[in-house]
Amino acid sequence: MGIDKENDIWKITAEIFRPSMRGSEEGSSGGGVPERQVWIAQGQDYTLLGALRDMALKVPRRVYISHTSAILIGEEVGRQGLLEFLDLWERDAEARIITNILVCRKKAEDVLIGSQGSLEKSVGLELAGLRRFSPVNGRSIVLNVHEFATLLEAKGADPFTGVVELRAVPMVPKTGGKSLGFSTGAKEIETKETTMALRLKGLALFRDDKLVGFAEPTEARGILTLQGKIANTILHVQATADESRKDNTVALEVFRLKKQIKAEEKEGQPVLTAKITAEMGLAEQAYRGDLMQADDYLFLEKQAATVIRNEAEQAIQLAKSLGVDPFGFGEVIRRQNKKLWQQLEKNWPEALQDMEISIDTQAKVRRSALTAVSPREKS
Amino acid sequence: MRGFWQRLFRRQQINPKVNSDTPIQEVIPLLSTTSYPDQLSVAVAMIKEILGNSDDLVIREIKIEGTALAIAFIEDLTDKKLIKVLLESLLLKRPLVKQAGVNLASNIEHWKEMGVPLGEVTTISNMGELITGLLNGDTCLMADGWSQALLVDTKGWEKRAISEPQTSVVVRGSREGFVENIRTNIALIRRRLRHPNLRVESLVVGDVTNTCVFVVYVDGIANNKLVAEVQERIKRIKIDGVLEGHYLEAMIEDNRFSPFPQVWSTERPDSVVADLLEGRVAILTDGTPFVLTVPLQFAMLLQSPEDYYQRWVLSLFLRPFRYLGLVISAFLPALYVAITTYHQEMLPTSLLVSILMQRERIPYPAVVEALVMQITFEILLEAGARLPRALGQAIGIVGALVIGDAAVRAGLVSPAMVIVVAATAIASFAFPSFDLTNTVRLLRIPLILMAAALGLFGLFSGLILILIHLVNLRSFGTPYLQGMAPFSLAEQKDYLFRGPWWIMRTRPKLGGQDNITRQASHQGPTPQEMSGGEALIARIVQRIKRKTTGCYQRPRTRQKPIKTDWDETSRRESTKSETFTLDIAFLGAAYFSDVFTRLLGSTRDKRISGRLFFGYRQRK
Repeated sequence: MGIDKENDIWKITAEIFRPSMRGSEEGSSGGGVPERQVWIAQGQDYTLLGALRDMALKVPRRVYISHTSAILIGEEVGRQGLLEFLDLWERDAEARIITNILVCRKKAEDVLIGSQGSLEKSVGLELAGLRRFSPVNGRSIVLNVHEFATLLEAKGADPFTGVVELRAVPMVPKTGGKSLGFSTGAKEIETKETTMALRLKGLALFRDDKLVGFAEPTEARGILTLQGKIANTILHVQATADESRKDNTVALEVFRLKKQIKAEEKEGQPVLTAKITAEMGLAEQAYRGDLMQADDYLFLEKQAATVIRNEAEQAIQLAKSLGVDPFGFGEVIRRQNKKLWQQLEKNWPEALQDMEISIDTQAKVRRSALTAVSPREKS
Repeated sequence: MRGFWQRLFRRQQINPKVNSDTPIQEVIPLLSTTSYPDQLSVAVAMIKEILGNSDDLVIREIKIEGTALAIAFIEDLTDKKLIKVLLESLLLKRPLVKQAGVNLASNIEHWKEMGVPLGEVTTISNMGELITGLLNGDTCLMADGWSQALLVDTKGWEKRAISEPQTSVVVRGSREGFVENIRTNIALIRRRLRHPNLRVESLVVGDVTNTCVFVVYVDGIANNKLVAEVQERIKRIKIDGVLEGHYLEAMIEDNRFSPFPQVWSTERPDSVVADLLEGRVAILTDGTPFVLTVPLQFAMLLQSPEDYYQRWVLSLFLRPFRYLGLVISAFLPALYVAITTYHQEMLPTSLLVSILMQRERIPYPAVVEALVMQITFEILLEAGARLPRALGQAIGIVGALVIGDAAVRAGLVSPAMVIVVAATAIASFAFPSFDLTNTVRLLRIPLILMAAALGLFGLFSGLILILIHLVNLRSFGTPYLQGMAPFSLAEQKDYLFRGPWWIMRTRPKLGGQDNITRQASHQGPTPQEMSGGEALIARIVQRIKRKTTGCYQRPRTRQKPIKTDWDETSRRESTKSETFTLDIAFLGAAYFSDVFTRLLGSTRDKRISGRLFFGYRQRK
C-alpha cells in the first residue's frame, strides 16, 4: 500500500492480491515475464481512512488491510509527517503493527505501480522477503510500524527505516518466434529487455515523525552499527600494507557485532563513548598469498576496526548535520545519567551536534571459513 | 382332533388365573403363584398347555417300579449328552441302584439326594419356576404323587467360540473377547480373577425375554453402596426385552440426554477385570459380547488396555496424542471455518493467499463447504459400516474419488477443506473407545455452526458449554472428570499420561472404595535389606576396605540409606551421635582385629591393623 499526498488530499495506492490461479499460469506462458498477481486500486480523500473507504467504490471485494505487508511512504508525505498514518494504523482494529514501513524517493505510487515484479507475485511479498533476507547485507533495514513507533515514542531517539526504489534490471530474454512450442532452435537475442524491480537503498532518517534526510548505504551501515542492528555484513579491507599490489583485497564477514555506549560527564559536558566489538571471519581472499599468520590477522583486524570506525563517524556526521539521533544516544544518556538527560532533554537532537562522541572499535578475525589457504596456495 | 382334546383339557385343568387374555408381562408372576400339581398327568398337560405344545418341547414318560415318571425339556436348549446320562440312569442302571440297596421309591428327597447323576438339582414347587427352568435349558423330573418336581441342570446349546474382539484390538495382550453366552463370559472373568471375593449376583431383566443379567464386583474393593445402587437401578427396569447391554445402559445412566457415554462398555475380559480391580462394578448381559462397567470416567475413554501392557515410556508418550486427536477431531473443522470466515489475520499471509486461491472457485461460504464435506463423510461412514464386506471396497473407491478428487475438481469444495475433513476423520479414530468417536461426531456439526455464526467466540462458547456439561456430569455419583475436576494430583499418574506400574500405587478414587492401595511401594530391584547388626558390620568392612585399598564403595540400598559420609566435611550435625557410636564400634573392631592378627603373628596383617588404628587416631 502506498501513501501519497497532493494538496491536502491523501491518495492511497493499494496493491490488492488477486487470488486466482490465472496470474501464475499466464506468467509461465509469457516467456518468463514475472507478472504481479495483483490489482491496483486507488482511493482519495481528505483523510486516510476516507481514502481507504473510497476504494470500496472501485474494488468489488472487501479491502482487508490486516495482511498489508508493507506501507510505502511517499517522500512528500514523509516530509510532512507520519502522525496521521501512525494514528490510523495503531487505532484501527484491522490494521496490524507488524506491517512494514518503508520510504520511497519521490512518490510511493510510482514505485507501487511501476514495479514489474521479480520472484514474488506482489510487491508486498517482495518487501516481506526483503525484510527477512536483507539483514545479511547490513546496509539497509526494513522496520515495521511497531518498531518505527517505538523509536518515535522514545524521547532520546529518532526513527528511521529503509528506502525502497525502482531500478531497471535485465530480464531473461524472450526467444524469437511467435510460438514457444518445442522448437529448440536458438535465436539471436535482438534486444536486451529490462524490467523494473525493487531494491533497498540506504535509510530514511526522521526527526520525530518527519522525514529529514536520507543516508547512503555506507552511512546506513554506520547507523545500524551504532544501533547494534547488524546481523551480518561484509567489510572490504586491504590484505597487506603493500598498496602497490593489485590483488590487495580481502572480504571479512562480520557475524557478531556488539555495541556498548557509555554516557559520561566531563566538566559539565556530556561525553559519549561507543565501544564496538565486531567478530568476523575471513570470507573471501583476492590476495594471492598466505594470510594465515598472526600478524596478518592483526593487520586485518586493524583495518576492519578502521573501516567500522570511519563508517560510524560518517554516520554521526550525517546525523549531526541533519539534527537527528537515529542511534538512540539520548536514550543511553537518559538511562545512564538522569540528571544530565534532564538538562539535555529540551533541545535534544541539537545538543547532539556539539557533543563529543568517541568511538572505540575492536575487531577480531576469528576464523577463515572452511579453508585456511586459498586454492592457489594449496597447489 | 388333538386340538379339540386339548381345548377340552384346558378348560378342565388349567388354573383360570392364566389364560389367553393375561397380559404377557404377568404370565410368569402368575405362574409362580400356581402350585405344582400332585398328579403327573395334570403336570404334563399343564406344561404342554403353557408352552403352547411347542414342537421343541420333549416330554418322556417312563415307569419305574410302578411309579410313573416323566422328564420334560426343551430339545435345543439342552445338552444331548446330559439327557442321555439322565435317561440311562433312569432306565438302564436301575438294577445297579437296587443292588446297592438304595430304595428310591417315590420319595422326592431320596431322588434328589441319590437318584440323579447330574450336577445341579433343585426342587421346585410352582409352575413359574418349572417353566423358567425349562426355558433356561433345564430338565424337569416329575413323578406321580410328588407335590414338587426336580429341576436338573442340563443346559447346553450351540454357541460361538471365543474369538478375538472386533473392537479395541491390541498388539500385545489377551486375544480373548467376550461371547454372547453369559456363562462363558463369567468364566472368562473368573479365570482372570481367582479370588473368593469376586461376587456374581444374578438378576433377570425383561418381562418377555427374561434375560439373565449378572452384576459382578470384587467384595472388599468396590464400594457396597455403589453395588447396591447398581442393583437397585437394574431392578427398577421394567421392559419387555433386553437384547443388548445398551438397553440397561440407557435405563441406568445418570444423564439421559448427554452425548457422552456414562457407562463403559467393552468386549475385552482383561479390561473388565482391570475395572473390577479399580473398584468398578461390571454388568454382564446374556446375549451380547459387550460388558458394561460403572462408574465411567472421562479418562477411561482415552485409555487403551494396551497402554498397560507395554513399556510405560511408550504409553506416556502416546497417550497425549489421543487427547490431541480428540481436540483435532472435535474442533478442527470448526476452527477452520472460524478462521477463514472471521479471523483471516490469524493466518500467515502466504497460507491465506494459498487458501484464497483454492477458494476462488468455490461458490459457497466455508461453513457450507464444511457441512457438505462432513455430511458426506458421515453418510460414507454409515454406508461403510452397514455394507456387506464385498461392497466395502466399492464404497471406499467411490468415496475417495468423489470426495477426494471429483468434488475438488468440480469446484464444490476446496482442497484445504478436504485436508481438514480427512485430518478430522483420522483423528476421530485415534481413540480406543468407539463411544467417544460417536460423541465427537455428534458435537462436531453444532460446533461448526457455532463457529460459522460467531467465529472463534462461537467456537470457544461451544467449548465452554461442553466443559460445563462435562463438569456437571456424573456417572453413578462419581464426577465424570474425576482427577481433573475435582483435581487430584495422585490421579495424574494415569490421566493425560500413563505412569509406570510401580508408580500406580493406589486405585483411582471413585469415592468410598474400601481398599485404595494397590501395591507395595518401592518395588524396584534393590539389594537385600540389611538388619542393624549386618549394616554395622557392613560399615566396618567398608571402612577397612577403604583404609586398606584406598577406595571404598558406598553400600547401595534404597529403603534406608545408611549414613556413610565418613568425610569430616560432609558430616552433618544431626548424625553426630550416630557416627560417634559408629566410631566406638569401629575402634573396638579395629582393636580386636589388631589383637587377633597379633595372635596369629602375621606381620602383613599387623601392618594393616596398625595402619588402621593409627590412621584413625591421626585423623582424630
